[in-house]
Amino acid sequence: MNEDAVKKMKKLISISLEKEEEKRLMKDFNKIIDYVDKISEIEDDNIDYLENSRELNKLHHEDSVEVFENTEEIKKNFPKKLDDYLAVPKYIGE
Amino acid sequence: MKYESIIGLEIHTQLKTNTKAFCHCKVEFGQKPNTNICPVCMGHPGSLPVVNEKMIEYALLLGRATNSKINTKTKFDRKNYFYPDIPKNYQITQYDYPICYKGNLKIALDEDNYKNIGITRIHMEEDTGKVFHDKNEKNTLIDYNRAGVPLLEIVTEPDMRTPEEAYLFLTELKSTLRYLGISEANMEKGELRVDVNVSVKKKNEDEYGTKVELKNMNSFKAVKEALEYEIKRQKKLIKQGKSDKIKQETRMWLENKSKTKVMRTKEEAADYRYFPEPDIPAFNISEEFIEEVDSIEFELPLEKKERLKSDYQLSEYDASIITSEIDIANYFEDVVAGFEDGKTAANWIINELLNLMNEDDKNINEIKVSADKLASILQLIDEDKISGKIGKKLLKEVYKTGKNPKEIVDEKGWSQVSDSSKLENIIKEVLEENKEAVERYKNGEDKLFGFFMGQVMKKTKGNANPQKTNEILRRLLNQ
Amino acid sequence: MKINNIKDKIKENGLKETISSIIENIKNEDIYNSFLSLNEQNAMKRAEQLEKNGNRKKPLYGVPVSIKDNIAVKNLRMTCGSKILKDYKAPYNATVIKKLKEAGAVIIGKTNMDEFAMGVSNEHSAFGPVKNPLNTEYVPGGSSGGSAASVSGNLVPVSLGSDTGGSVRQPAAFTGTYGLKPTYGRVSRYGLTAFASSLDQIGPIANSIDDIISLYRAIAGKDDKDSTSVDKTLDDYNNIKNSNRKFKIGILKSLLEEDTNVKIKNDYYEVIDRLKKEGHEVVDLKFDKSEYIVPVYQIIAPAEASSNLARFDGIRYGSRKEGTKSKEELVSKTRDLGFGEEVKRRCLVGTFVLSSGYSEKYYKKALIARKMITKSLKEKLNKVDVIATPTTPNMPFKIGEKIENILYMYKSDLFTIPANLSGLPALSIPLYRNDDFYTSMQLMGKPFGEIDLFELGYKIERITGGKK
Repeated sequence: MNEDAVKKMKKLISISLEKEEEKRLMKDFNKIIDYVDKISEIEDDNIDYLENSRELNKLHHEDSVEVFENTEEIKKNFPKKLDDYLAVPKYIGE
Repeated sequence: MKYESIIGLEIHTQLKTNTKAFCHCKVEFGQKPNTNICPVCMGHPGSLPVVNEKMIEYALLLGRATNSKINTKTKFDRKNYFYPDIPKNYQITQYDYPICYKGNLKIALDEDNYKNIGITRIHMEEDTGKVFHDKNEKNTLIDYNRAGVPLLEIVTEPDMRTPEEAYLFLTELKSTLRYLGISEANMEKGELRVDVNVSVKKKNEDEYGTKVELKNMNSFKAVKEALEYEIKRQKKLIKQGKSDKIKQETRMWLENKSKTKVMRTKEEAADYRYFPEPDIPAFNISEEFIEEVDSIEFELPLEKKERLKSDYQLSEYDASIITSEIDIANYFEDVVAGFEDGKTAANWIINELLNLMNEDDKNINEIKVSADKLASILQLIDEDKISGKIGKKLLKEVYKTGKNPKEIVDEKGWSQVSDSSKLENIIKEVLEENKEAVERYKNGEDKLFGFFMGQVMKKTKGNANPQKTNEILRRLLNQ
Repeated sequence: MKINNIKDKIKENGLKETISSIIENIKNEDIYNSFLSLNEQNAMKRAEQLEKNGNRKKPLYGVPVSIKDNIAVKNLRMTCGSKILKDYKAPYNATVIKKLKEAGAVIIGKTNMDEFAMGVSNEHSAFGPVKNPLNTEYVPGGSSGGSAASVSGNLVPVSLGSDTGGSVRQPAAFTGTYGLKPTYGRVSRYGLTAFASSLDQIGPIANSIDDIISLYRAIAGKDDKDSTSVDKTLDDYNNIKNSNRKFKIGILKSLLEEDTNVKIKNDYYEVIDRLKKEGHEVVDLKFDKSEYIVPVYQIIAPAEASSNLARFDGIRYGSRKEGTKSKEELVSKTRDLGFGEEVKRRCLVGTFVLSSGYSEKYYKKALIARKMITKSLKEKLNKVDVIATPTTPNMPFKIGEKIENILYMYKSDLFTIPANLSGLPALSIPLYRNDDFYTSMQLMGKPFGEIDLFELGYKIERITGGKK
């Protein structure tokens, strides 16, 4: 995989890598991709993503409110809290 | 005009369901931060999304109202990207099988001139949390109450040709959403968000110009202004032969500077790696479900406007105002249930009531003048029991106190004196008391007529029926 | 250790005493590093409550169960074997936990695992490898290594693990225990930290088929909180233990010829022969496209995982890297520090195969191949009752021995992956013990055909004598 592609991948997975580790991982990555490349032998075909569709009434939820009783625990897991907001270091938003 | 603007809109609207798109948390605004949350909408490990049937119902309603085709077999997809306001770092949305497609919405360019704006697709997705950069010096604060609230994304065909058309479309869409009761669609409150796509080309050329995306407009007016600016900008560049300087990019509307500015170029566009949402199997919407939705009755704004015009002989202008909000239209129809003269009712609602409401920023559901009370006031005027002038005073009083109009009239002694013999006696009194003025009037000082009227009003505390008083006074003076 | 042993102990010493001794035993004897956290206080409290007021007729009354640490138990730490969640506490109970409690079980603790369920040896845990109780220099298999070791080491009679490409069955085979992956949709995934959503299932590990069935019955069932769970009533297992039914068994000879360990092959064929002699029919089925089994899995599983693991960014929960200068840095440094190498590898591969320009070539093709493999298997299962293969092509290896050899690890899932790709149920049964370790056989069944696995499994258990 060329350098641009590596850069793009790193951004997409949002994992920063030290140089040594990056080298190692890229070697592994290439090995794995070579191995799975076998899949290209498969003939192309259309996939019907809606093939095994189910009835909607077996999977929806009714529009009735259920209050989650343990929101405190969710907030306890916040690495940083200010009043009741979750806090992250300031960044310029879009 | 040598140039043509091609305008398309992408709109996101928050749905007024009770619960979020994929969990049972309450959809509610103005709460303490991070109150309406649960493991599902917070993306905790092991949590799974479950579709809210109301979101589907509302999507189908909008589909019906826009004559859209329906994908009764459909699915959800994941749109993958990292951002602090999106708990799972992917959004559950619909990619290639939107629930509705190929619809349209009619807009009224003027009284009898309509245009159909095509709607490419309508699909369901979930909203993100809210990010605040200005509440704290060193930190950005996040509130996830909004994370997971159901949204409909509506994409139009590039059928609009002027900023005004875009404005009209948005107004009509908002009205429609409110008429259907599926969204409040208030742009200022963030319940409706609009992105615009615009390109300019020479009219006689077939090839479309480069498409520019505009974001960050907070009102319909801002959309119109942003378009006006951007079209001007693009036209200028084309005229100067610099059309290659128009890049396919995203530009932000800067309200305070009244201009657009580059935000990012499309080349850096994110790779969302869409794939079907594995936690929600593809599903069939049953015929029964569709029939249930189809049986829900509604009348769209334009339809209602036409009907009120013909049923009550309302002017185009009045009918437009009455039907601009479903609540006002319903109020109007409640009033005419008790007082048949629609024209008068409309007149009073538009010219008197709405002004009062605007002064204290109330909407028609919050006021104390219920429809039957207004009908009562109009009835009193129609029966000559009070004068029109008193009627306006009475309306203000009912608006303030919510009391029964008839009671107020009695309390304040505002009953109009319309009895001819009574009036005649009072007028005779006035003429007796002002013999000198009568002489002067008979000698040509016509202006004194008003003085006599004033004296009658004084004696009757303003309750004399003006027309009758006028008649009788004229008769007596001419004797 | 089996559930019956526990029931006997409870009769003898009472529930509180039994649970207490189980916990003490774990504290003293868990040299395998199978437990990451013990639920001591809660378990004792629960034992007390159950003893006082509990319904003793409940099917799992008083049974101590260990839970893989990627299944949420309310207010308990859940690490998923990862640094990034080392202090995370689950705010809710997984549905299977609710069901276990309703059945009267006692949650003893959370077990060690390969990080985010990615691995076949439990060497990829941030909290140290798990040792195989049969020989502590060897791996117990993965990713449910801790669960399997806790059962094999007789610390608890039963455990719940998760299986995405073999993660319940393979460690069961390596540790000489039984492991079941139910039909996809039989058991709710609500509360199971997702690895690959279309492949994951929670399954029991135990020391007998009886106990597998007991756990399975307690946890199976449609769950409104999991849209992929299916509404299908369980069969009646009351009369299958000593039935006279004769099975039609499919075998995949050609698949075995590739690199399967000799001991495993021998024991496998011996049991197949014995079954033939007992009157069951054995049919050799051709399985073409077998060379795609592992590549398909190594495309689809990382793809879904890369998306499922995106939520671990240190923002709302988990260990957050302090002192970073931007939101991008916060996330990427947190994930760099928090994830182990195997997880990073899978995220890279998974993101790559979904990315624009490559998803047609890899992801879409993998889906096509998956469909073909599934169709082929289901067609074969129309002709036979079950398909029997060894559970693994290899025997346990020493800790550290294969850790550099990624492809070796991936290929060891050859026999287990097909059941995940096609959603079919599969059961791993220990056969014979050679030296330290057992060889194992896997039975794959029709969709929702767990009863066939159990019924034939009992017959195999009788042939081999079961676990001593």
